[in-house]
Amino acid sequence: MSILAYLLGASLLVWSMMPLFKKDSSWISLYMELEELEDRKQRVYGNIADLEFDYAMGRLSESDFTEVRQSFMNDAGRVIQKLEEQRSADLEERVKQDIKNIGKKSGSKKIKHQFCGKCGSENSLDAKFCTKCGEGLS
Amino acid sequence: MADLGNVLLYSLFPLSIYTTLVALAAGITKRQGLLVAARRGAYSVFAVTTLSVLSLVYLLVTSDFSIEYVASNTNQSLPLFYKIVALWAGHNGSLLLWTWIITIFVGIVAYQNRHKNNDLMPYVIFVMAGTTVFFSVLNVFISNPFDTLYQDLGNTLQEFAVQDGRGLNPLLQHPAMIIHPPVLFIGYVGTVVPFAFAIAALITGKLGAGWIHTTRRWALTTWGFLAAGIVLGGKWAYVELGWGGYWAWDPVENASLLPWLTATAYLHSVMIQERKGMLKVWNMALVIATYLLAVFGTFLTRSGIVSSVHAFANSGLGPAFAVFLTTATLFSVGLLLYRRKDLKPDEEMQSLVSRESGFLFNNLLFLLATIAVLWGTLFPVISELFTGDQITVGPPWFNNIMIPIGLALLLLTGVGPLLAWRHTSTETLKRSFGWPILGSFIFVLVLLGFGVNDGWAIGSFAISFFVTWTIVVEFIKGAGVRRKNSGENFFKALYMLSRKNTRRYGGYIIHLAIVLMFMGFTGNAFNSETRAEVGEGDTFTLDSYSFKTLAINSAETENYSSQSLELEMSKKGKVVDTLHPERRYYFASEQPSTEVDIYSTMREDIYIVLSGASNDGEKVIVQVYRNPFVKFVWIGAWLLVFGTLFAMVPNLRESKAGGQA
Repeated sequence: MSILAYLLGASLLVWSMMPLFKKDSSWISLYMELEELEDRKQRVYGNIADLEFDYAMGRLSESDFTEVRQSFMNDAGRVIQKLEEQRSADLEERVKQDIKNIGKKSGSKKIKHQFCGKCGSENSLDAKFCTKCGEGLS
Repeated sequence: MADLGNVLLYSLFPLSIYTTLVALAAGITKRQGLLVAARRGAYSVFAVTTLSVLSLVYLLVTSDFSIEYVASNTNQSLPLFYKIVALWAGHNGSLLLWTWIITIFVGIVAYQNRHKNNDLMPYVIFVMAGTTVFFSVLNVFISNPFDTLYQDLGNTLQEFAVQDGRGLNPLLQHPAMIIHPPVLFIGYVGTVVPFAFAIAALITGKLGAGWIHTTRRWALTTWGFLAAGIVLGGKWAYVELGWGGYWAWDPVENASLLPWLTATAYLHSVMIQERKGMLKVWNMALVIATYLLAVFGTFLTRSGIVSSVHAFANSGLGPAFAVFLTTATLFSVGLLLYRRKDLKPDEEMQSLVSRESGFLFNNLLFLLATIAVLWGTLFPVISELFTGDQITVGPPWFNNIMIPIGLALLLLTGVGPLLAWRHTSTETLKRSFGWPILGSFIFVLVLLGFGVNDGWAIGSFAISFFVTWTIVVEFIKGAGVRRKNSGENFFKALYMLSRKNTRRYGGYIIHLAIVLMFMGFTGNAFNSETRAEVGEGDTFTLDSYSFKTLAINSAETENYSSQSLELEMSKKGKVVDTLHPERRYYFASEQPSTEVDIYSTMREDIYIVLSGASNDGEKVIVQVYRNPFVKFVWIGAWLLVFGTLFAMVPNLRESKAGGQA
């Protein structure tokens, strides 16, 4: 009986070691500034939604509401603007990187990811829609 | 089969080391192939542990008494069901269950994230597989459930099998005890997932909301399982231990409460980070503390460092745990200090009267509670260090500290949600709290009128009343606002409102559950009890109840012999019920056990224990406890589980004419 267990243990080890011997690539880290800005955008949107709910529930006076809402709106505007700038910079960077890599990769190399055209998030190749913003992917 | 299981268990050790190292290499090099290898390692670790567990279950079911664990925890005549659950009845088996749950989680996390979180995943697998390495060391080398029985023949050792096993500890032969360990273990072990992601975020410097979003459901699930596990433990103690209560501030109970306290604090303070970008270091610290306290709790239970009614005997695991805990603490705290500059808050606190400051008070109180419980639990050890004697602080010490903290927290559940973010003006405060406070005052007067004179109890009931009021108003008002905008009827609006923000309304449901449980706890202020020596036909009373002994019976089954009492209970002259408390003696384990009988209503439990025969042997001793409101605790616990599940349902998104789904 125990020979079975030895075999199983060994074959599992071999199976999990197999990818080590395949030719592979390293993944590219997502751009952190972009992620951070995306976080901040979500946070401001969440804050606005909460604020409107709080106001509707009578937890804020009208003057507080208008004042705070305006400041959130300004925040949102700033974040979106920064996001746009960052994205175009990132795209340029990526294009440069791709051009550099043109000669290096063999034709058979499988591409594992695609990037969303709208927000730049990384998605698996078979995805139909972006997991972050829901934009359709070609 | 024993060999098979043992070899599989042994192979867990190299496999988990391999997975840990490959995951680390993947993190450093960012090579795709290494990450795939680490993921496969995670699956393999899960596979061997699962098969190993199955072979132990096979040994238990087929009663292979050459295995020490099987012989110590089961016997031939034990029902099949109990033979299976004996997997976690003993120390070695339950440790294997523990390891198994980690490997299940490693597998699930690796699979869930196979297409995402590439930067974090190597370190997540590294931390989780690293924890697995530690537990596999315990399982394989220190507490191996596949150890066989040996006979010492002069200078050689020979394997042998016993005729019949010692049987399952009778105290464990109860439904609550059967699900209590797995549920609590899932809660304990689940803390490793948020911890692993937090550590990965600290190592990679990706300290944004990513790790928090990914682990939100894990954190909530873990929290729910911890809570359910704690209550199930209480239920078991109540029904099975026969001392009339469900919580005694026993070290092992405290050990499960500690990670729950910090986890609760985290679930609240993480909302400030999500909305305000504040408390980033604090949240990390809470996640780390929760994990360390969970491991510490296991250590406390397993090492026998403090004596407790249900701790496992001193099993030689102490040093291993001490080394692991120290390493994990130094590693995670060191990382946190290293990154502290990157965890700066994005905003500052603006007003003392705001939602965020409410959360802050909540966290301070939870921190206080954690420190108090930790101190009280460790006091015997600390006192032994300085005085040479183990001095135990009893339940009164804990109650003195924890009742005020608990009530303050309860009050916050009513106040916090009504405060607006950033700043709440005095005028809106008056509007929100005027009526509930007035109502609570009237309620206090009513209580006084009914003759309730315990200060803490009045406080607790009044706060419960206040919190219930504010939560119910939250639901009604919210539905009203929605109704005005959407034109739905009230119930539809209520449903849509809560489905659109399940976390908020699930949270409110949990708050209501906590109120119910506090009502149950407060019942303790009105407990009464009596003790009587009775023969057949004798009577005695407790408050408005009177009891009459109809018969004293003896019986014997394959598993145990028993003595039971037929006790007729009347209230104000009317017969209510006949109760049958019982005392058993189990042959295989040579242990007595009390089977209490409980007459339970919403108002109170009548809890009857047959303690044994009187000195002259002619009569039996009966102990009767009247415990008001205990049922509220169990109902509250069910509601808490429901609220937790509700909070995990994804938010409903409304489809509008515009076609947005």
